[in-house]
Amino acid sequence: MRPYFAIIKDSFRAAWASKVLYVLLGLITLLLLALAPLHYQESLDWKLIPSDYIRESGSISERLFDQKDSADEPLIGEIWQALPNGLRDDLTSTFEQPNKKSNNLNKRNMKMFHELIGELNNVIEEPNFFARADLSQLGLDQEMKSAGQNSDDIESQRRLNRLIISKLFSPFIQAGDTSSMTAFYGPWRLGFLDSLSASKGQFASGIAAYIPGILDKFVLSIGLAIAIVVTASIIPETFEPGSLNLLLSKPVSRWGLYVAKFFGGCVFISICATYLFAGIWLWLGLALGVWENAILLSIILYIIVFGIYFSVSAFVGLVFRSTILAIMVTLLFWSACFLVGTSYGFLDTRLQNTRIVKIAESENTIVALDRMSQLTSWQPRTKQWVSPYPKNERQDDRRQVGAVSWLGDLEEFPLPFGPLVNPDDQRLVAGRTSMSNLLSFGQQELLASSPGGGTMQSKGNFPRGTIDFLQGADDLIAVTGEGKFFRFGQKSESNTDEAKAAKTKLSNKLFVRQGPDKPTPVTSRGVCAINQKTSEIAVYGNRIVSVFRPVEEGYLLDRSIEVETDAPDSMSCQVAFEGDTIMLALGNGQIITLRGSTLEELFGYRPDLHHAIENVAATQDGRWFFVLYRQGTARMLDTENPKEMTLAPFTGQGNISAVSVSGTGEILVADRGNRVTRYGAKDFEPIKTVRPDDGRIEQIYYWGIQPLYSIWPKPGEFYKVVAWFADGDDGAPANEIDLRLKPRYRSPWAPLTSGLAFMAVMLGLSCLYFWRKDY
Amino acid sequence: MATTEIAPDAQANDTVVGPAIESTNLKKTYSSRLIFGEKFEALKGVSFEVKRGEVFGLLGPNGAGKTTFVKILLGIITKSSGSAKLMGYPAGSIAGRSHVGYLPEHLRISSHLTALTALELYGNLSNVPSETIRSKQDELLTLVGLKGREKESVKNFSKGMLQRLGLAQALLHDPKLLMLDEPTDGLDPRARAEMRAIIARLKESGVTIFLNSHLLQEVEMICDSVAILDHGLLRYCGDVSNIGDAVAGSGDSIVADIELSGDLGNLSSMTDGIVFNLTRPTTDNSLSARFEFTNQQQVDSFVDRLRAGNISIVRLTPQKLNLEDVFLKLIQE
Repeated sequence: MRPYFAIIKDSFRAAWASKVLYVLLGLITLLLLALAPLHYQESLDWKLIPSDYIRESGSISERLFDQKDSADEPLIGEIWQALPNGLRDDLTSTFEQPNKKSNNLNKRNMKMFHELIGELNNVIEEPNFFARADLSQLGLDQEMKSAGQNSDDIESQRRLNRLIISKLFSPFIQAGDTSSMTAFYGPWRLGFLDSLSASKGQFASGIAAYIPGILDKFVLSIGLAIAIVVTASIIPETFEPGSLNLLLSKPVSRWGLYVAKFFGGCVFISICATYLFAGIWLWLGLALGVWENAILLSIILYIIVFGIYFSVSAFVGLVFRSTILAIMVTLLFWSACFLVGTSYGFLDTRLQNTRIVKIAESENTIVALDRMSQLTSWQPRTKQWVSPYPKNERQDDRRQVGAVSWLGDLEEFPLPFGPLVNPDDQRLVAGRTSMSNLLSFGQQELLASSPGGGTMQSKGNFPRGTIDFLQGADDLIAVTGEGKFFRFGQKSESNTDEAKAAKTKLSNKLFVRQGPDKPTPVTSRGVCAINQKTSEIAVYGNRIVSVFRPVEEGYLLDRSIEVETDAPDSMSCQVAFEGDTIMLALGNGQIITLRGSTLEELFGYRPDLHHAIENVAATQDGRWFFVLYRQGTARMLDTENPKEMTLAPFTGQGNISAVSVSGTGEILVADRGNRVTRYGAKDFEPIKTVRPDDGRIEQIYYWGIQPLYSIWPKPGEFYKVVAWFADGDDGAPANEIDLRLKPRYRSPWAPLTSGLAFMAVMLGLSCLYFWRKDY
Repeated sequence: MATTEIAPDAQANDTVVGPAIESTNLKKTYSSRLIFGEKFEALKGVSFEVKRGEVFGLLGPNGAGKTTFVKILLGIITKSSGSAKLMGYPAGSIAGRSHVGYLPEHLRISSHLTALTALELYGNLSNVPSETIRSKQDELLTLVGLKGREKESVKNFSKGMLQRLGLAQALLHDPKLLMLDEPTDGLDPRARAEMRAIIARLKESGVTIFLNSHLLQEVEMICDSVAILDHGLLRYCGDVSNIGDAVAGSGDSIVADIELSGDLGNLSSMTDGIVFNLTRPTTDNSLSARFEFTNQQQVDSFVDRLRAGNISIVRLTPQKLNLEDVFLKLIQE
């Protein structure tokens, strides 16, 4: 191996002899010196910021007003007493006239909300505000106990006050992160970054997620371009007769010579990348306390990125022995990579955004919701998914799609509720993100249209704080964050005088409160499910499953149990409840089934998939439960033989985007190309498939861009590999990792594997050419 | 094309006494394109041997096939047919090349290197450990006259200095065979003399030296044997010392420088069938020329006619053919 190492060693000599290297190292030094003074100081987070960890502003005011005199919530009463008289009067007038609505009122409400948050901050800032309160009834968690023990520390007391406020107004005010960071550049505080209110953990993950991308797009692009120009002459110079004949006369193999020269050519970028990334890694560690090893991994990854380009440059240099041509072809290759990557990204995003994520079946058609929150229904005549709403409503649809696509990264737009079919009258009921009114921007409005759409029947609002909207056998039930249930509409079959009177009285209300008296807070969508046969509702929260039974007046808590799981309390969960089985699909991948009637555990399962569970569904007889994973596979569990979960016999596995069970008990599955197939509930035989014809974009994507992209090297996407590595869980146990909260990485290894494969092919071709060539 | 195959009979080592270079019916055909290109035969079946320990010169005009022959031996190009061996190994094999020190024509050394680092690089490429290189570098640099300049960048070196450095790197691994392609090209007369002295010293130490040069006088001075190629054919291969006789062969051809005086007006009628070239400007009554006679009878007849015509033979010196004469003679045929 000595001859080959000698070539690589010589490449180091050549690099060190290059003036360009010193210019680049100088620029990197300047960058590192510019970053060096930037540092953070960590402090306990206690201040409430309206845009952070606070939602449903009206619900906070409402709870304050409702509970001000409640003996159960004396602390809320104390807060009420601490408010200035003007604010108390405003709140009183607002909630004593709930139906009075106007834009002016909305503006007043917003002003009132900000004033209220300011007053709550005053409460928090006063260390002794809750000093005499009995906190035991709040259910102290570890952080509260820890903060309470530091009674001499004002910051700890304020943090405790913040936690108490969060408990009192849960889930509308969240505890947030324990600490926040303040940025400094040398001695100067960077006040404009305060609003980021990042904890150290968030900051670390932010750094890990963004630094590779920023470096990739700015620093490394320039560095790579310079490196390509500087190294392009290596191979052509080697192949000048005076040098080459001497090299070839040495007792070395040609392929070894070429490969050694190739790796030697990577030395230049290796020196620069090592200096840059090691410097940033040290800066992050020393100045910010974030020792992110994925940054060091970038050294290897970016050498590979350069290797991809250099394999092209070297091949052209070998064949044509022209430095200029090598540079030009490499830059063309760079442009081709950019073009292929950008085209794929554009088309893929467009097609992914229109993929079906929810399906429902109405009396005469199938309705579906796509990722862009667009509700569509199947039109058999035109074989297309089209909006079910009348033309005058579609403008708002377009606004919604536009806002989600342009602002989706900045503002969270949860998927609209529904679509559901009202069992009573077959009306199609769905939510839509409001875009027309700035004050209600981002909140969901309700649209109820004729069966299958077509005619708009009513528009309105969901109950305040609605988190989920469920399809029961007889009702549509909205569930609020507080755990209150509301039934949509009136019972048409109730024809008594009393019912008629009630219907008239409530005609201006879309929803009717259904209890329960002691609600269980609902933290997120999917944690509650309704049983189609019994109309019972199961809710999961903090490891407790509660089942509510419908009675004449509404719902009553019937039974509950704490499930045995090693998942933390805050772990997300998806719940399905059919027949006599409840399925809990936890965010860490754990699946638990309980007997619905007794809540005894039937079966626990943790597949070794490491993929987030997107959704769960069940057949109405409660025998088959389906679990849809994020990577597009659907598995199913037979509750009569719950030994293992098997891959569901649906076509399109790997591309399945939605699974649901229709009112008739059949299974609806959406997969690639927005194809929806209906399967029989017993035998899973496909009954009917609807699929829109491929448009030109689909044809270009599926037959051109996607196959090309899959084999094409992706040097511009290596930062995604670094980000994926950096997004590791730093040794956190698998049971504590909520896979649903992790970013969606599609094929994180793809840039690396396709890049290495391309490099290997180019090296192979070069070696073959060199081996066969007479000089 | 490089190959690592080792012929069964080629387990060469120091104890094997076979030819250093062996070429049998070696042919090489170039094609202007990969397919359907015009063919050009650079070597048309060349067969000769280079004995171990001798200094061998390969001569030929431009396009004769000399470089092609050397490149086939070193594996820089592949042969079309025939066989060639280098120190008992198939030509082009790594094992064969490990015994060869090569100084190419128009040597280029990367400008970031110094004499010392260049020696280390090329020594390592010949699989010589860096410690060995360090222990030998002073001796070699002194030998080639670069001592004192060893830390200078080669970009400041003249062509002659680069040639000397090239020779030094070729000697680093104590090769059994030294192949020198135009080694004195670009050297001043003194340096050429030094190069010749080095070659003589290497010959004494038993190294086989294969010289590829245009400088016929130099080859004549240095080499024991020569081969002359022309248009891909071997025209001559043998000792330098009797090349004239060998080329003249067993025929009766006689060459003589003759100086004549007297009435030369009728000389032209006396030289029918005799080739001659003037060697000095002619005056009215004197002439110096080199005459080539086909046999002794023609000489006698020519002398008789001169005497009959009252022309005096002032001087008659028989001549032997030198390398240049033979070379020119062969390539003109």
